[in-house]
Amino acid sequence: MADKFDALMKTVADEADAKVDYVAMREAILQKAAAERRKRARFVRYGAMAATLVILAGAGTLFLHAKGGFNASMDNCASPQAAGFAADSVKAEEPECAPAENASEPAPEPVPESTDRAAAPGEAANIVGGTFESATDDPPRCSPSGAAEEPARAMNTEELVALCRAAEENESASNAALAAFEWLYVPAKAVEGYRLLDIAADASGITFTYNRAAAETWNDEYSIFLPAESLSGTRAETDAAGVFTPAETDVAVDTAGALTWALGSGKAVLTPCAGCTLSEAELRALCALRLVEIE
Amino acid sequence: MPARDFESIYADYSRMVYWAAYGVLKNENDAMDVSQNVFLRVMKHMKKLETMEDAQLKSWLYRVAVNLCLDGKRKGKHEVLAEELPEMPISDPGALPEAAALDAETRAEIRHALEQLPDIYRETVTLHFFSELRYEEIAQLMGVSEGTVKSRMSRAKERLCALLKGGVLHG
Repeated sequence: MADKFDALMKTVADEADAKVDYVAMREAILQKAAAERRKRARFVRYGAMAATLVILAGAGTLFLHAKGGFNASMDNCASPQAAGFAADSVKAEEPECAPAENASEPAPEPVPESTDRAAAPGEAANIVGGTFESATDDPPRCSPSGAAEEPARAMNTEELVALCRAAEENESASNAALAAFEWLYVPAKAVEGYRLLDIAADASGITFTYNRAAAETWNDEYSIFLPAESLSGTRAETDAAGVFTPAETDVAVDTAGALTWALGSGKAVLTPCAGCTLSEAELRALCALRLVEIE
Repeated sequence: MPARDFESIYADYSRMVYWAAYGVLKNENDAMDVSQNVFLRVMKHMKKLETMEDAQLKSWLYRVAVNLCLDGKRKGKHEVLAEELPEMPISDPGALPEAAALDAETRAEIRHALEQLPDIYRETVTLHFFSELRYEEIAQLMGVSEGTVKSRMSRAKERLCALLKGGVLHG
């Protein structure tokens, strides 16, 4: 029977495989790879431009601070609501600093850098008691600050996963690892245990693993098998969906920001990597594991 | 250490990857998409892969393929473990048709029966017959013993025979 079955299945398999167009698949792969390369090239090109602009803007701000003329320049460019505003130095409807127009007018102090800084209308709210409260902390708004984007930030698990994947696709080494899980666990000897269905994120961007195999794969790079005995005491804490969330008090945070909690006789460590922008509270939210009991 | 390039990896393992994905997804288009993504990752990690041993490379490819498949299915229902399923009666060996005598309808019937198998059996059968992997290799990829693979294959055959019984094969 076995030989007959094998021959039958082999025939079916070969005929099915003959219908698969591996040449077309290869072409599609090469096209996708080329598209990714183009996308990456654009990212690198515009990313470098944005970084340059941010650096220049930062340098300009520092230069203003160093010259001590920042406040003076603000006086020169301030909106009419500002205390001490000289009505004849700058027209109220011209928030942009225009050195050519004002060059002939006597300024309180000669501050050519004032062209880099103009008070936006919203900044009037920062003026308290006739002084600019936070003007020196703001980035220069006359610069093309659209390039000065905030660092990517994940507010929840899904966003973290998306960021990891985006970083992985872009091959951006600095952002590729927002957070990494390091698992220290005992080898699974028993048949009974738990399979980890969900990892929020890891350095390679692989977000979850379903250990389909048996207990022998305990040392597999991506598969995690948690034997029942290592989870003693935690079983009752998994909810109906199989999610196990360690108690707040069970999670310890070390000086490097790594979160560690005991998992029965094992230990789980969530280590934020370079570039991780998650707060401790957000990292704690990632400690929830989805465990499914197996037999 | 074997030195490989993308073309050689694709030539040697595209069949394995495609059918491994198909075994999980049961859908040709999805399996094609996953296979493409697997080989895109191959391109990305080429430096690491070019010196890998064959067994390691197969394991890597399989794992990436399955992870990508499961990624797409992550919101689906949980898999029912095959070991929990009841035994099926062994069918009459003589009921199977000769391989050479297969017509299109029979082939479709067999494919349909294959898709009705529990995941763990279907994947084992697919890896063996479609991906052309030996039991030893399947055991390594799935992280089980060779005996387990043989056991699963045996049960899969029994179930396939039972599923086909009463179908076109038996008029």
